Amino acid sequence: MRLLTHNSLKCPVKGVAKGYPLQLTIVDMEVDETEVKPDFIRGILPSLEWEGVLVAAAAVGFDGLPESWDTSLLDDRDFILAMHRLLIDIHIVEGVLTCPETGRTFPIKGGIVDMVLPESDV
Amino acid sequence: MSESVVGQLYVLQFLDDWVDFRYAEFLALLKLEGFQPELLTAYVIHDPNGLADPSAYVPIDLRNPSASPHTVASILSYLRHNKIVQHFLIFSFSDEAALVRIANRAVLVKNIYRLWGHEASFPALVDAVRHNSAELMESYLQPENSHLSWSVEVVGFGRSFTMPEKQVLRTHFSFLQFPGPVSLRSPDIEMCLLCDYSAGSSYTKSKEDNAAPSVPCYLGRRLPTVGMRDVLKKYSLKTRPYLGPTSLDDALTFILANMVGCKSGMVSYEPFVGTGSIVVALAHLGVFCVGSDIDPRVLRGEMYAGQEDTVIQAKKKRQQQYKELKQNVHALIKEGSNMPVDICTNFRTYDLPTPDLVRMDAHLFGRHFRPMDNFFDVIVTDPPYGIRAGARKSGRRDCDYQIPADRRHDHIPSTQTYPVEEVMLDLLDNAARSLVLGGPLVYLIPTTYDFTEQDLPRHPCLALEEVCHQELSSRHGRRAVVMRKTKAWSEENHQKYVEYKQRVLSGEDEGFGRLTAKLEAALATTAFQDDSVVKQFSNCSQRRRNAKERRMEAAKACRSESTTASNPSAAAAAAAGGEGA
Repeated sequence: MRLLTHNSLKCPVKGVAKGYPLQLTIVDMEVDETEVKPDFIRGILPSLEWEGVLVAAAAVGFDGLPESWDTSLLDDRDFILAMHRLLIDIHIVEGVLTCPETGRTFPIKGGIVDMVLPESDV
Repeated sequence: MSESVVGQLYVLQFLDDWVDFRYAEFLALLKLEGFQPELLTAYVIHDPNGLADPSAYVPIDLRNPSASPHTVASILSYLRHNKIVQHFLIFSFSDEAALVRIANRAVLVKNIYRLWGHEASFPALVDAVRHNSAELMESYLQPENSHLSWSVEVVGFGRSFTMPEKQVLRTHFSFLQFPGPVSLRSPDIEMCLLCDYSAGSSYTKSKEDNAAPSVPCYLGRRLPTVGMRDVLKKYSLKTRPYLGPTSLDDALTFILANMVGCKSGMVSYEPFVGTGSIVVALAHLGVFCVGSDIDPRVLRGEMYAGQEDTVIQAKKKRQQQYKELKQNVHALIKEGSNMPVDICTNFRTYDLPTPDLVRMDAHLFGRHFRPMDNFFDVIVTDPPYGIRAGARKSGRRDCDYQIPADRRHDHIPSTQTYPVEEVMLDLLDNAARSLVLGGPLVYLIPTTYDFTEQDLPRHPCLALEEVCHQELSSRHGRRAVVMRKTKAWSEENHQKYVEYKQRVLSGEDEGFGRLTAKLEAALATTAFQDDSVVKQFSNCSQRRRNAKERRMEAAKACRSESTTASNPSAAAAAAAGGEGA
């Protein structure tokens, strides 16, 4: 699972007030460097949840991201490259996603995150 | 360009398959390149009202082609509405490079030719081209072009010519004196002479006709397109490492991707990803794919339905990529036999980025994704509609227990039946929530032959754009439906949708709510005798039915003549027996 997808997920438990960003614990990850597409990164930046990006960066051990972003960063080549490496090139193979509100955990196995709820919580 | 003495006209030849999809795909790709089909002039080849009659052919004055009131959009719409199958389309276009790009992406475009001449018969074509030949050939006779190799291909559409016959036809054009060498293998200038026998009664014309065909003929320069043949061969299901029983036909996946104008840099979502067959096409086009499915078996590779040797090839490639190169194939197989084949194997074998996969219930989509109005650019999916694979959603109707927290990690959640009406309606609502404004959704839905657009599910935020039909059996087919998000998702729109969903699920809705019942009726084992269900009889089976009816009538007439006089009760029995047979 890539961190771009992690950014869009939230806890599905009934009655949760917000449920995101999900805390991320990484057990195993892979890095697969791919070609950067700057226009794509610029296009998705506005719809990202920045708090989630910071959570992901902290889990990976990547520091150097600003507390909030502004449009001047769109022209910064290093920033675009860093976002690409963080959101697109990192694959979480084994890990856990944890809801910050309910503490519910969702395992990541073989790169696939399992978010199906037990029937009592649907 | 000297060729423009006859205007910049092109003739497009469609592939003779997926007929109902061809116009939708071509129009969508035109729009993707930034052209508006309502503004492109197209030309009528035959009088559409008398299409079967070659004498109703309307010639185009190529020197003055602007005298046509038709556009690409209007002609294709006319052809579709009247269910006319036309394999060629003539239109004017200014950007040849864009046409090449379109043809290289379109599954259903076979060739595009820059038109040099088009007449109702072969002799007329020769005369017309000869008349213009000085200007047509002008730039090709220049010194800088004199090295270009050339060839003249002769093709009969609906008729096959022998090599000597082709040579006879070719020699008529020997006045086209290209200075360069002849090359039959990828020449620089590929001229093509097409004789179109597809109209009406031409099929019955005699063999002498082959020397001077009296059918519409084209002479054109073929654009250097490669088409999708190699791509489709690479992704063919026959050699795909990981398959399932519901993996979608590879040509159809690319056609669907083209119909919604997928391009590199888009983000897509597939709520029923299954074996990932649609995602393969999207990943090839450079789309970032997120997929989900509730069934862990299909995600983990336990629904495998591929072939042994393709699996071995897939494993070999994986091992090479992981730098465990060994020359001994048997050792590879032994080592590889424990390696799982799953949905990601396909992507690694094809060198495509893997999609991000989430095991999740599409019914609860709204609860899994944070509120975002414009995250996904496109949704392309083939929902499980219960004919070959049913859908499941999480939860249980009568669940009165709680799973304790310490047992949760290895509890396997129960799932329940997810009725197909709910599957489709949830899909529309998920699309309305998460698509960008103006973003498209395309899905497949099975339909009966008395289909109308009223049979389709609706949503206040989505507008119906396109419906294309694929026949599957004599009793049912399926349709690809393209919808577009035209209104932002809001509580008000959601409320209207909730009320509509209530009506459908309680059986009050007369349109989409009836579709499952109609399908069940159509696919019931006794339905093949029911005329109101089966619309598509082949000619052969129609003849058999007619012959059988005639035999029955004759037998009844015979028996009633011979028995009414002598034995009334036997005649009645014979009549009853005849009807029951």
